Amino acid sequence: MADEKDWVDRAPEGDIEAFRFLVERYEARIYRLVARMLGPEHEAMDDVVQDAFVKAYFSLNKFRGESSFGTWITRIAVNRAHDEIKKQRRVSSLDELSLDKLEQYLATAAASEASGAESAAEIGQFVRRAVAALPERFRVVITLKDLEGLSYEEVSKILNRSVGTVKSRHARAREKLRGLLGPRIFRLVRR
Amino acid sequence: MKCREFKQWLEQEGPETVRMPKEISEHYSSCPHCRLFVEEERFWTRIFALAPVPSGSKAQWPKIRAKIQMQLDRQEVFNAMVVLMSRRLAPVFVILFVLLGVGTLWREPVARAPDSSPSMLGLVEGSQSRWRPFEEDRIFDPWLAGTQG
Repeated sequence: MADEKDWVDRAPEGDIEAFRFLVERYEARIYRLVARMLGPEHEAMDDVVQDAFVKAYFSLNKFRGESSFGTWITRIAVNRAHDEIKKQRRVSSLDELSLDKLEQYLATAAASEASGAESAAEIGQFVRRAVAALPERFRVVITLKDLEGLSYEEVSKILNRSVGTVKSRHARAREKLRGLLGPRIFRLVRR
Repeated sequence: MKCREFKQWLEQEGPETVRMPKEISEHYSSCPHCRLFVEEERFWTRIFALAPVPSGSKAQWPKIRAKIQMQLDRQEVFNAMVVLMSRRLAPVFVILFVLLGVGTLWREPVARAPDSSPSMLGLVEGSQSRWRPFEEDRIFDPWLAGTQG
């Protein structure tokens, strides 16, 4: 079986099946990433994922192989998701919306905790909403580093920032997240 | 071992790792800062493990393929237009341009300035107010006053 580099070399020569292999290998990861950046119910999610792969197909001749194809396509997807967030922000503030939703959720979750009925799934939803409420520059670092499990080097390549910048942004993102989650979640996780 | 090396090792192995090489283990047990760091990392790992993983739609390829084909078709139409322009229409435009140029030259040969109307005189007489300099000119101003009588 041909390795990934062969598929990457063959796709720009018009071998559409080679590109299909690459899409099938990375679509779940890209979908997950975009869902975490935009929110899983976002209407343009499929379009963002598809556009990222279409853009990758037509830019494959510019891919120099300095990073892996996975890192490269992730970078394209992050940029495409960023454009979508910017577009939406022109209509309404996504961050403010997320914060409103988080506050609503906090009220529901507090009632649930009082009744002692809070499940792991509910805590998970709470964490997800807290991440979604982060400003985009922090959300993307948390998504790539903590949720996708990429290394600082990979994140720095995807975001086109130095490793030092990524590390400091990551620390600030966790600090913000800690503030959003509040002491209640820490009690729940430690128990 | 330095704390930085320990953190690099931890980043590769993950905070939940149980087996530590001897050197790492020695540093871990002697460095309170790194023990706190590991605790912190373990805590965040537990937090993020709770967040639900969005499940991806598996039917992306047909739509991606259709979009690629659409763009390829669009490119093909554009390329065909460029070829048409360069091979068929461009020579026609060149011939038209040459014919227009020849026609214009035929009707109005290059004009020569008549000897009796020096352009400088026309400039001074025609638009004195507009061409007056901002500063006093010791030679031009008396001459201009003289010509106006």
